[in-house]
Amino acid sequence: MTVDVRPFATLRRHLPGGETALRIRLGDGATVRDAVRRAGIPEESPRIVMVNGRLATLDAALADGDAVSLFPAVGGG
Amino acid sequence: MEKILKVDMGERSVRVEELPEGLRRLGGRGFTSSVVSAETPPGCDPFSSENVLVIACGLLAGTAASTAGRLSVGTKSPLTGGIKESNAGGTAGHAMGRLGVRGIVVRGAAREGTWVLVIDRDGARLERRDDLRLAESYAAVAALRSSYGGDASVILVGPAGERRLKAASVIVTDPEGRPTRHCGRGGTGAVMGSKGLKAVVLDTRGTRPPAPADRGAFAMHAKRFVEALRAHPVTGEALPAYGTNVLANIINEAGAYPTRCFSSGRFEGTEKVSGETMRDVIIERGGSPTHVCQPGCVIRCSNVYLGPDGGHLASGLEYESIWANGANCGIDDLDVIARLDRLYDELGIDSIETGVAIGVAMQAGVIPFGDGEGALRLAGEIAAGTPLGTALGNGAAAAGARLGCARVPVVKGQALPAYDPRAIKGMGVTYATSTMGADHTAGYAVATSILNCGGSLDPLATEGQAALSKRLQAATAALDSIGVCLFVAFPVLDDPAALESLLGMVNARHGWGMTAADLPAMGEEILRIERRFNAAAGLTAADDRLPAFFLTEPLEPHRHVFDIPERELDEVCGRPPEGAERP
Repeated sequence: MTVDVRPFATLRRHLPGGETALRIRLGDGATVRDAVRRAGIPEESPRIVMVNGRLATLDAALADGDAVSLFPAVGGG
Repeated sequence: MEKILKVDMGERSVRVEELPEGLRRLGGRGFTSSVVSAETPPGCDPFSSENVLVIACGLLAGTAASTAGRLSVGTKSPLTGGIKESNAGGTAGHAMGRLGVRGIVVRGAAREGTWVLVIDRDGARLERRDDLRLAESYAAVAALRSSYGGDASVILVGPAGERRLKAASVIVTDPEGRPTRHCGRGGTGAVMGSKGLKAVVLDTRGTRPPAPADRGAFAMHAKRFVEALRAHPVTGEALPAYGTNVLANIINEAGAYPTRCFSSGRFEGTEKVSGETMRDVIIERGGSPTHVCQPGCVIRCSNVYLGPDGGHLASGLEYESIWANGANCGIDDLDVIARLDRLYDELGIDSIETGVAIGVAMQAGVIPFGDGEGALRLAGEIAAGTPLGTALGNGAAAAGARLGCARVPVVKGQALPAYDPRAIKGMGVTYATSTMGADHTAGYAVATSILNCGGSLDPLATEGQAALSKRLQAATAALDSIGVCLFVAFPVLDDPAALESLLGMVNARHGWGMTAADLPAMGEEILRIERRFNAAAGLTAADDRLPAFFLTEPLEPHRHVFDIPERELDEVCGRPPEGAERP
């Protein structure tokens, strides 16, 4: 399957050359954790995880075409 | 002993009195709401001389406590018709603390002239300054500082307040003396303007910080509080680096970023106006991505935004302002948004209410969504006082009424801020049931349902949202009354040491024994006072609701409507279930 990984804020420093998103291929049964590792992001760094705009955990199973959004701890108002 | 200042604009008198017993334990919102509910007749015209305007600092004002310089303004709102408290950062709260003035109560209205209240270590006086009539805020502050001291803090209204536009703010100067921090919501500036009071000048020369009852304990807790703020990733890392606009991307990803007048939860131009992009632009132009709005704050979430020519445009381009005038209007150009923000600073008008009003005008077809130059023209009409500009300056509901547009995102006449209530339903509960009208700060369910602070709750679920909002509304009322920045809630929700040191500072400052267990009851009591006022002013259960379109139009991408049952909203407001006898 192919999924998009979109890190935000300080997590972007793990992507090469100022990229803001990464399209990666994963095997069947892959989880968010697999996608995070493949993107080269330390798995303890994301504090908020979304799959297709819904809150998820690192153990969530992924499907082809999913968008994974990763955030450090953020807040504001 | 701290003082209360009683100003009568009709008699042009100023009295300095000892703080009465009933107000000693109240700062900020607790102070303003108590005084407004006791002294303003709930049924009065907000612009009549009967309405009082109350300005209050917090319980730690003037001390070294980080973030404790919030300034509250309270009155009967011309926008909502109910009680209002709106607060801001800036330097005035701490200045009041140094001057020993907990609160300023302004009643009556000047029959003629433009007046300035000057407070210094020797006392307070009203001075007539007709030269400042309708002056824009930067020029007004420059003139006032030249008269009363180059370091004076200024609380003022701009031309919008003097012209009684219902979205007018009360502005507070920042550490550079720029008029950029606003008590933005609910038209408090219009009430101040209606009284003929252009500004309050606070000259702290020759004053000292108030002496804590227990100096050693105060210093210890102040240090621990700073450590807690620095240790939490939100207040220690994300907010200093990116400011409040770090939220644009996450709220957009969550499908809750209201786009083109609340017609979608995702904006295709978000990356261009995000906190990440803004930080790059600010650094490239030589501005500051990290800036304090008040001295001693370690969160430093403000910024200094320069235009393409290097000229100063805004200090503290904030998430809400960027959204209201950006995604909400389909605009993805930060420079256009910063120019709008500058106009609002000059006029003294709420950037949320005005941005939403412009979005309503776009929805009505006056200009198309995405038309940045058109938005600047409309803001120019507010300044010029054209009929359309006046309607826009009176807020989103007035703009909708003038333009024949019934689909208007307001509660109690006040525009919704930057979280769609269909995608973060706890915020919908807060918007509907807050005593203040639609107000994100009144019970910030985003913290728990998106940001994983203080637990977690699915933002799209129906269950649990009302209880979450109710709990947060009481906690917020308590924090607003201590007079600290609401952002301390992030560490307070996660780290017991943060709350312990905050209360430790209050107790050491005043010699009290306040505990964490006292806070919910303190917050509930303030909410009860506010609800009683609103009921007496004529607001009913029908005012504790979202506009109907949020219940019928599903929001992309999640295709949810707002579906929290009305009886749960009523319960948040303390209304008995239908058919039940009031005990």
